[in-house]
Amino acid sequence: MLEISGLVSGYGRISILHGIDLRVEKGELVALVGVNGAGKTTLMKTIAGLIRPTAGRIAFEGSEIAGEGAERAVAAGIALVPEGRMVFPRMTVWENLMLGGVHPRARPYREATLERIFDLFPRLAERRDQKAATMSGGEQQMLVIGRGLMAQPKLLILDEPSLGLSPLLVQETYGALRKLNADGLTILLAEQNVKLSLAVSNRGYVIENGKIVLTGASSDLARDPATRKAYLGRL
Amino acid sequence: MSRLSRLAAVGALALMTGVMSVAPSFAKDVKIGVLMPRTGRYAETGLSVVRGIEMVVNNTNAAGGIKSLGGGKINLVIADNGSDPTKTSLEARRLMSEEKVSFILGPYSTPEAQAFMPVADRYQVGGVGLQTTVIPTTPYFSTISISAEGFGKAYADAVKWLISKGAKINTVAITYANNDYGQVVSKTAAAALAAQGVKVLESIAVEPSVKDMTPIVLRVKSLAPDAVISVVYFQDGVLLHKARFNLGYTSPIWLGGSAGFSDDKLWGTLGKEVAEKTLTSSFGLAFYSADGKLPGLKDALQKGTAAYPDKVLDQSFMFGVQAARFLVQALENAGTDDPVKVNAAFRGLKFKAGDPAIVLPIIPGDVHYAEDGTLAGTSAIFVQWKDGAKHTVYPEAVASAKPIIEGVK
Amino acid sequence: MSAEVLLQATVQGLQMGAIYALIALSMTLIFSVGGLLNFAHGDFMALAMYGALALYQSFALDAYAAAPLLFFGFFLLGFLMFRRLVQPVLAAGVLAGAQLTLGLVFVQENFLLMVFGGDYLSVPTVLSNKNLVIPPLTMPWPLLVGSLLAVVLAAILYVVLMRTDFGRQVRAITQNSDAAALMGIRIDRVQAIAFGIGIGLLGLTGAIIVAQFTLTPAMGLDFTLIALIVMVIGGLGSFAGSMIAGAIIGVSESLGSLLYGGTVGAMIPYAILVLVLLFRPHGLMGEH
Ligand SMILES: Nc1ncnc2c1ncn2[C@@H]1O[C@H](COP(=O)(O)OP(=O)(O)O)[C@@H](O)[C@H]1O
Ligand SMILES: [Mg+2]
Repeated sequence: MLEISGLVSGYGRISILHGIDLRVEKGELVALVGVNGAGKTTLMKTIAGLIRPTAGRIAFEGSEIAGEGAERAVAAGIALVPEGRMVFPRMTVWENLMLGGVHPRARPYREATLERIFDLFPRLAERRDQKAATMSGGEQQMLVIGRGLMAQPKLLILDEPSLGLSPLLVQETYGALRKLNADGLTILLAEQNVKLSLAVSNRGYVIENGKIVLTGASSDLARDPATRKAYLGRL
Repeated sequence: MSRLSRLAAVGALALMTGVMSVAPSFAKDVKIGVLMPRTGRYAETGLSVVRGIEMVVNNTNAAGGIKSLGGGKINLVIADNGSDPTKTSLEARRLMSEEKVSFILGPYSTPEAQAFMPVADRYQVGGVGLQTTVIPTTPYFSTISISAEGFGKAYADAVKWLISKGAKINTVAITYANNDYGQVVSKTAAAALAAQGVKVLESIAVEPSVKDMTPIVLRVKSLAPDAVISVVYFQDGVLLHKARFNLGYTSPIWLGGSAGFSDDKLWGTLGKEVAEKTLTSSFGLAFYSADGKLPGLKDALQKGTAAYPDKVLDQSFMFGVQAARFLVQALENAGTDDPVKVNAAFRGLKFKAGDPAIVLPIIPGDVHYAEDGTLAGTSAIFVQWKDGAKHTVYPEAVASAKPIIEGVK
Repeated sequence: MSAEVLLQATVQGLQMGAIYALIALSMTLIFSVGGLLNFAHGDFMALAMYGALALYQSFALDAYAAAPLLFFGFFLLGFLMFRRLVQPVLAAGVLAGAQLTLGLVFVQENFLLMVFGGDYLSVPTVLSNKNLVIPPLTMPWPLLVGSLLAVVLAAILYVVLMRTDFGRQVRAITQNSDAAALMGIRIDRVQAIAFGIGIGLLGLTGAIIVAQFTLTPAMGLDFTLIALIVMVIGGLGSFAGSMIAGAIIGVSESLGSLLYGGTVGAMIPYAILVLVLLFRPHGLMGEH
């Protein structure tokens, strides 16, 4: 579904990613793990069209989307749930969700999707008319995931959804992701939390200094001495 | 070619044509600065003034220039002060120190004159203010207008005259533009009226930039005066008449000036309906009215119509003409382009009644410059509107029509 | 002072206030697009008033009939100007943007001076010089209609911004433009449209209040100042705030002039501005 090859990207003249190869098949839940500063966010943003890559290809369902902009990525069916949540703070939960489905491709299905999201996160239904800024971190995380789903994505990309959440909320969030994946949604997940992300995913990539250094089935990666060595503190 | 070198080339060319155009004669040309608002609040007035100046200068140059300078031509350097005192001072400095002009026609308003005077004093280059009602504080500045005190007195005189014509005026309310000029006019008028036994109910300050005069007119109305004096500029005057019209408050005898009651374009701007209800019964203080009888004025009107067939020859135009005619005479008298001597000649101007150099009806008799740089021998006139035309009604010596006074047959 | 006179002045002030509010609202809308402080705001309205004059002179088109035309014309002007001029300059920072609008003040004033001359001009309309008299009140029709339309337009603008997808997109861009991009919102286009609506509203406003004012090329500045004051008092970006602030300024200006003379009346907006900045730095209804 998503096929990335030789991707070079960064900020201004500074390259952060030095030739990334990565693929996600339909229905998979793929984890991208790496320490802080490894380049995960840069890769996610490049896929979502916020950053224009300097070289390489990003093919989504066979068509090239590299450097085509965020609108093109959304139109193709990619939704990024960004790091740091980035809610629209002075708008209500409902307005945030509506904006998630504002793209013409998603607009006709908004009402139905909203129902599904409220089923998945009943808390959002309760807080429907509350301003996003006034919600807790966990609730905001649910909101941005819900907002991402409103776009009717074929591929949902999440950038560190566990960051800053209590263990209980992390469990809840990952439970939701597993459920979404089980219902057929393809997911690409960037995480520092190696143990957790490799536990829920089918396959995984390890990124280090802008390069993929290891890849394989998540269960193998979790057992791999190299991973263990690199992320000992985190296992 | 780089931009800089292109600039240099253009500059060189300009210099060259400048050099070549100097006729091989002993005629000495004079450079005269014109410092007028061409943008900003008083742009319209400034442009009209400049037209008047240019007409006189063109006519003079065409008729052989300044004789005492061997037929030297007057070259105008026109600068825009943006209706702004700060820019006035900057441009005055430039005209004097860089352009090296011999004299400056301008600036226009009182605040501009106040910014101008220290500069004139420092560079010892003279200037003449057109609508400046301040008394000059330097020998290098003179005025053509009547002083603010003179206006204040003119209002009181007019009220006295109206009473003598049968008007019942026991109480007066004053509204004035809240700047130096307005304050002095209203104070002088109030003091003179009190001395005549007329009660001044209140003097109401109004910012010239006001956007709605309704509250002011309501305040005046609640005072219920017999007569009202409004010291206004054009735009606040228009708003005043509109508010009077809207509120149906046209009963008291209303005197006012200057532009907001006597500008040539006032009738058209207000529209017939409003103008008839408000202007017809009002008395507008003016410096100028085309119905005047002066020979110089008739001549200026004729030449002006020929030079600018599509323009209104308003009072600003005539002020430009008047200033330029004074200057031409001063240059003839001076016989040099030395700024100090030109200024002294300007200050030394004297005219007999009926001299063709005099175009403004505010100069009915002999006139000369007083010690303080104001014109001695001026007096304001009052006009009344009828069907879009102004008629001088006061002083009766220069009047072309009889006044129509509310409540008097 | 009689109650009737006070009432008359209050009503007059409310009507002026509604017009101030509408001008401030379009300024708020433009400000919400990338934080552009539009110092040429009043000048665009002046341009519209002269536009109404030109349409009247050339086609005998009444200003009220010309209002929709001026809206679309100015919308287009704003839309194109944003694409060609504002957006590239704004990319260099909001300061550069403000400088651009200062430059536009100069360009527009001189353009008007060149085309129409410096004369004071007025535009006759079907409503000019007509009053609605409901004793003890006298209301000039142009002001009454202008202020009522201002309220209606403000309400429409409010609904568009708060209740439609377009409005949510505009607000989303203001609150977090990266996140807005992730929603697939075409930021450039939405901003250009919002800017166009802001300028278009000025076109409309100019047409519906032209009968109330005398035209002069430099008239824009006073309106820009009032709009800035109303916008800041109301709270940057707050629509309800601008409406309330407009009413407060209009009424206090009017009552101040009536009770204490024109100078006090003219100082009141600035005095209120200072007080609000002292005690409520984010304005009456400002957020944060
Ligand atoms: N806006 C930016 N401009 C320049 N460098 C950046 C920017 N954002 C991130 N970086 C740098 O890019 C590198 C990768 O960052 P990032 O992709 O955020 O890593 P991760 O998400 O894996 O923590 C880091 O060295 C970081 O300092
Ligand atoms: Mg990151």
